[in-house]
Amino acid sequence: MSDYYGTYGQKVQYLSSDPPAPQTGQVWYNYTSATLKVRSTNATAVWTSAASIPMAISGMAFTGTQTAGIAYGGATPASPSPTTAVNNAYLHNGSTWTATGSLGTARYTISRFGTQTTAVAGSGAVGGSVTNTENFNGSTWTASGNVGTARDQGGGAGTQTAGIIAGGFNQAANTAITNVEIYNGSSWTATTSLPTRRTIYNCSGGPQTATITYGGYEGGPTGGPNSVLTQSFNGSTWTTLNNLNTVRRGSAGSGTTSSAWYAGGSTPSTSETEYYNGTSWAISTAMPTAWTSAGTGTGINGQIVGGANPSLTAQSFFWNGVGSAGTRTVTVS
Amino acid sequence: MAYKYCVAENWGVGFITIDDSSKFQISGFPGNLWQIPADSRDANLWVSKVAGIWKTKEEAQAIVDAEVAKAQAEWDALPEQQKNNPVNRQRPTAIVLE
Repeated sequence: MSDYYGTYGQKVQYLSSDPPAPQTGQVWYNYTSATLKVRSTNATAVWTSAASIPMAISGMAFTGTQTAGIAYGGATPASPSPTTAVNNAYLHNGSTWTATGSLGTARYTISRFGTQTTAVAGSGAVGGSVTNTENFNGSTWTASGNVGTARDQGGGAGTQTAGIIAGGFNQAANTAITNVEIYNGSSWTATTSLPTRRTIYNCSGGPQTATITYGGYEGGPTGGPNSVLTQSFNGSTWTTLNNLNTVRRGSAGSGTTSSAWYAGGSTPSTSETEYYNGTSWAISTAMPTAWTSAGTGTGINGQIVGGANPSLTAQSFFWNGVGSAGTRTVTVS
Repeated sequence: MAYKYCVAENWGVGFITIDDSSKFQISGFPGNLWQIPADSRDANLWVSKVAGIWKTKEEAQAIVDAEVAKAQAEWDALPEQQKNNPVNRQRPTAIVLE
């Protein structure tokens, strides 16, 4: 009869706490919690709780990964005061949030992209749409070249030296826009416009030359529908892909052209989650709460933070799609 | 499906784990209210883990109604021009628990 040692080539470790980076297939006994645990891949998508951010906020930007993310900007509409833009920024390491250097210009619904240490804050709103851009270096923000067309709720993707913002809402014209601009780290250049005016906000990702955008709001001065569109950019042209299954806006999302997620949103408020596999969207495990929020990550490992459900919240949750790795407790009876 | 309700504060990592999420559906509502399946042993164990305080459906609905009413009052107090701001969303609507 084969045993674990014979099959896996290792003994079951006897540890006081879970190992920091277990391998898929690794088994260990946590004697502190008296539990046998295994690292395995998820057969179904799951949402799990993450540490709450220090302040309840909506309209925040969030980029990076589950273990190295940054959230910045946002708004605190506290009654009876009007909406107040904030410049706070917080780093997340997978378990805790730490305040870091503040944005030079407080604003909300920023187009976000980059990593935890190379994030970019493009455009956004402080009542009206603004053109400000700031680069993050891991501790402080520095003003950079302004976006050509002011917008908030625009999609953002790419890196600090090869970024892109797409669509958004121009408050002065009271309409969603099609304008797209690419970023080289210091200045912006207009490129091929979106086929359809959309706000996109939050729901975008990938590199500058393989960007995916989805959902949002197609409204003009007299209103308009929420969007089910999915469109990708290859550096020169936009291609319309298969639609989302559900109509909503203010959703969280992120990912690439081969793996993206889309969760929550409003009108009406929903907890539905969809997963994109590179070809089509499918309904997946619902969020724990019906939220509008900010999101980051990929279709396999993502995270939402803040938002409203319907009052402002500081809560955060991890999204782990099918095939992602997770630690489970082995139960015997 | 029949549900049960409890109030518990989400403390972050470990409040809802992969084990929990894989075994049963947890749905959150305003007021730190959580909905779980009524016939799940794992869900009952989770409520114990998070020190949840059980609520009847009527009590749970009252908690949600109060939170929604509070959010509606906040929204109604906003200046008119801010009600159209996307950050402020739409006016919160009633939530009816299943």
